[in-house]
Amino acid sequence: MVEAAVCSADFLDFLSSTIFPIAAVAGVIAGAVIAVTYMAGQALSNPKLTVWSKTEIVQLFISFASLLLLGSLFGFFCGLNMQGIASVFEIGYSGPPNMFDAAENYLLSSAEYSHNALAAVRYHLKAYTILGYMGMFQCTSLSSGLVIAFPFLSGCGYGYSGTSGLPFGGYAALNTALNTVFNSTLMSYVMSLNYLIILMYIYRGFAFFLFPIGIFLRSMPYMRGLGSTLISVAIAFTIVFPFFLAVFDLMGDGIFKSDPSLMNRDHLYDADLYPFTVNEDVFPENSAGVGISIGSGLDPDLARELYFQSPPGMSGPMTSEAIAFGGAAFIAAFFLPSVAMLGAIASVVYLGRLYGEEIDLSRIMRMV
Amino acid sequence: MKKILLALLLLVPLSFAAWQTVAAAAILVSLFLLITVFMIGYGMQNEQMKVLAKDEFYQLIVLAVMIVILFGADGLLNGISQNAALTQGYPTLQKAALASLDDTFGTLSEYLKTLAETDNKIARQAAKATSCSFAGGGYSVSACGGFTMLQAPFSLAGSIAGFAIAEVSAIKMLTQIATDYGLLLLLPIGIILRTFKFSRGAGGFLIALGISAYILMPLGIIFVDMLNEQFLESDYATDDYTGEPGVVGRSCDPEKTLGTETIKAAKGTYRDLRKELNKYIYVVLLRATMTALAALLFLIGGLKALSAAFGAEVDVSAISRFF
Repeated sequence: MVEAAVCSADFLDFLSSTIFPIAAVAGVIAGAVIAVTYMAGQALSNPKLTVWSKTEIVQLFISFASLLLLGSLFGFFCGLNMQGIASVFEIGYSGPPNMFDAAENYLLSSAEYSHNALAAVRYHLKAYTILGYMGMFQCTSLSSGLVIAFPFLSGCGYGYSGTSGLPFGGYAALNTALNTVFNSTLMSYVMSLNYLIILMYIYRGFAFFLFPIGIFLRSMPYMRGLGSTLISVAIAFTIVFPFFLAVFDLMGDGIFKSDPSLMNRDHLYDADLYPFTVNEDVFPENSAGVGISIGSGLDPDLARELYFQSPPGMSGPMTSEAIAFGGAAFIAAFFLPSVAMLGAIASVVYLGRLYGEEIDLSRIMRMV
Repeated sequence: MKKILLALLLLVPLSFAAWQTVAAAAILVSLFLLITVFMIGYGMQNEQMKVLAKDEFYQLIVLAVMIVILFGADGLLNGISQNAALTQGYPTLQKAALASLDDTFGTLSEYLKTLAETDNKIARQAAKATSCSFAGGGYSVSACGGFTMLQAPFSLAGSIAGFAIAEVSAIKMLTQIATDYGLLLLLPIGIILRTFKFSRGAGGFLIALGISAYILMPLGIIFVDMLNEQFLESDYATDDYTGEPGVVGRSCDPEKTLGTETIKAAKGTYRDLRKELNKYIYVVLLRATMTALAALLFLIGGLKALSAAFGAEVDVSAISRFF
């Protein structure tokens, strides 16, 4: 789990031995630049330089305060008990205790959920494709009494006469429906993994390196905007993004284990009931291939029924439920994590304003 | 000023529910922080810090007012939720929206099955080919090939119907989440986050998300239902839009390679399908797709307006691009 990365002693060591010294060096360099400028201003009796130096020293103080604030916030959020928060809002929660783990837990759960949806859709897609290509040949006059008595007189006797066909060739409609949803679900799955990688990247410390750079740049002429952006990004992505995801994890019971009446989706999530919808075991085994072929020749529906066994108490293929599962996976794995990302980006803009700079992130937003 | 401070301090004992206590504690922490900032600004004679502290103090007052309003708004939102004109016989607006989505999903599932059965029936005819061979020589004729013209439209129809099912399912999940957690979790957490300067943007966004998803999104679903009811009662709608479509498809004899009988069978099936088309259009486009679009429109529009009102500017166009 992430605990080893963010809330562990190793991570605090990383903060104190790597980030804080670099930030201190950046601060000292920036302070030296400001001091030299102030002295130059005094020596040259240039009020512009002295006023600039005074402004910058306040900004430097604000930058350091931000770093200390972030350090204390990390301590606060690592100590925050998610079960306690859930009990405050009177909701059931069985996830990990701290916020950072809860954020990771949400993305892992959404990835698993969308993967399950992907498996359900893929199974149906595969089964319908196999059925769609299943061929059939009916010999001429096989049903007449004479031919039954003397099979060699039939169209399949000496010659080869009859009608060929595809008993399930008409599943094109379902195949395209499943194909569309399969692509969408695949995208949801990939997006959840994408956000998970971003979160891991943040937890491994990348955002913290933005702090020393931001502190230094904020004190440089004409670079305050960039410095402010870097510090804002660091705070938004280390605190706000995981916080949003942790809030969604509090809703995990509602998202991932829905009410049974919710489109009968529970059986798709319940691993014990998987064989009825997605497990490959329901496919006819190779050893039974001849029997299945002969059986299908007499009754083509037999093959279809073998591919689509129904869960207890339900009838018919669960195609609509599989498609619905894909739609639900979109919300869990694509929409909600993207909302968390948007919330983090909105915070970057707001924090940028706090640091006295207007940040235009409209171009970056288009990438989300 | 002192009276306002006292009123803020009194918020803690006045709180009843647990989350209000947390909100009050957050206000007190924020108050402590801004007093510290003000003292530092005063000590360093820094006007910027003093102005910042004062500005934040006004934000705290706004927040306290928001919490008070929330007590009232809770009743107001519940009032809207339980308005008889919107609930359509259900206890709340959200339950009415969920029931509507359930009904649409059920109908869509049945229609997809009918579509698949019709497609299958037609494809069986289209695939028929008669062949005869003896001693290495023979022929093969696909007399029912005219039925293949229906395969491409069926692919498209399946794609649209499948997508509609996925849309309805996604909107239903979002509505269910909003019903369960909109006011219970998102709104209070948003208010607490809004207390602190650094998380004000995120807080405003969560408040806007909570209200938009809880009220506006179900409202969009119900409005489309109402529009559809009006449409069905209007002179423009015919009986073709209601009722359940049946499985159509005429039989074709592949051995009748001469004459126009097989062509007539294909064309007849096409005409039968045209009669059923409006029933599919009503459910797939008017009920499912329009519902999803309206729900999202209400959600995104509300999110944009409310997040701006609560101090967070979110580029909601990014969300609308998802769909």
